[in-house]
Amino acid sequence: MFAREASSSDVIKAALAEVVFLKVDCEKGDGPAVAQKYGVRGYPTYYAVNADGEPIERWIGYDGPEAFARSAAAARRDTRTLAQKREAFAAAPTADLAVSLANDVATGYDWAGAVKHFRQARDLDPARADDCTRNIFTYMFYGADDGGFTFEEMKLEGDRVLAAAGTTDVDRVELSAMMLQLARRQERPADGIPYLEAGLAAAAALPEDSPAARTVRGLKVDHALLVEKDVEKAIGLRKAMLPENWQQEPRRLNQFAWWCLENGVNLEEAEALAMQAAELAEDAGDRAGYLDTAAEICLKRGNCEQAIARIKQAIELDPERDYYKEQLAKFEAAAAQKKG
Amino acid sequence: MRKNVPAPALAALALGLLAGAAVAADGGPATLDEALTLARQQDKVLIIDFYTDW
Repeated sequence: MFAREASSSDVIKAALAEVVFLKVDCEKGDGPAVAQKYGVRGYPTYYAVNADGEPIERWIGYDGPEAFARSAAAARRDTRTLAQKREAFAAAPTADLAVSLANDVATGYDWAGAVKHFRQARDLDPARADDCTRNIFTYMFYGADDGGFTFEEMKLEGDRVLAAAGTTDVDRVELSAMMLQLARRQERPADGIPYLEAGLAAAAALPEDSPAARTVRGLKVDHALLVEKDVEKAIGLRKAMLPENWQQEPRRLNQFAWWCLENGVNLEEAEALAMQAAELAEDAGDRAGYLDTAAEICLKRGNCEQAIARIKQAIELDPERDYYKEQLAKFEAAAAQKKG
Repeated sequence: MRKNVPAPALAALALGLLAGAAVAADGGPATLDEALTLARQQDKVLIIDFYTDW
């Protein structure tokens, strides 16, 4: 997205005109070595460095021309190294320094640290509250699986984003989907339903080709499943989200099978489709992954022995992967419990 | 095993992918050393975009 917008966005062009810009393909040439030198963990990641190569800002992800330009401007405005900024913040905190430190630690996937620093920035400069809150919510979302944040904390920040003047209908749709996902992951789907309804209400104002179109389709699936309780409709809508010929694509077959598993619906067909994915897969590692999906579905259907047989096949295909051995132990324990 | 789960756009912060423009296709520096030299000569900050073609 950045490459596309870099050639069309005046905001990005203006930002790039003020800096030297280097693109590093992390899979080609000396790219992997450069990425390793800087400890890059995900893509895209941006580093602003001084002429000695020392980081002065770093941030993850491309979040639009304005956000990119803001980060580039922050690097030009304060060329102290990140180490110096950390010391400066400890001595005399400012919102700018807090944002720099938040982006810095987020690059290392320290979501709790990023949330802490964005909260400090919000306290130090209330004028930036909306932008900080959006980041706080996003990083809470990333950190949700680690149990670092309660649903109530995330709801509080999510509701602040929804109420912010600058929040667009596309943002409302996306945030609603994230809140619904959080609620479901924390096994409290009822708490996600108000967001589901709000997201669909916001979607009504959007054109069919909006950037949130796919998310809207997903919300409609969830609405059929969770609100209308119409499983057949949900399955039909979910299948309609898949590309033509999806039944010939192992990855898509697995995707749909996994969705069925997560929602506990259509399990018989889901198992068959996961097995079809395993048969079609050309790569042994992929095949093992699809067998794992099939095994999980077997377990969900109460067929522990079949689950064990399938995960053993996965282990044969991908013996290095400890995850499958852990899965085998899980399935064996379930089988023992069922017998006992 | 879950694979290729799409993430919401708001969460694209850490998940956004870049279309694969070739390194230095726009006439910019091609290597880190070259970029650092330019940054020193022009007294500018160097921004490095670490990406993949995934």
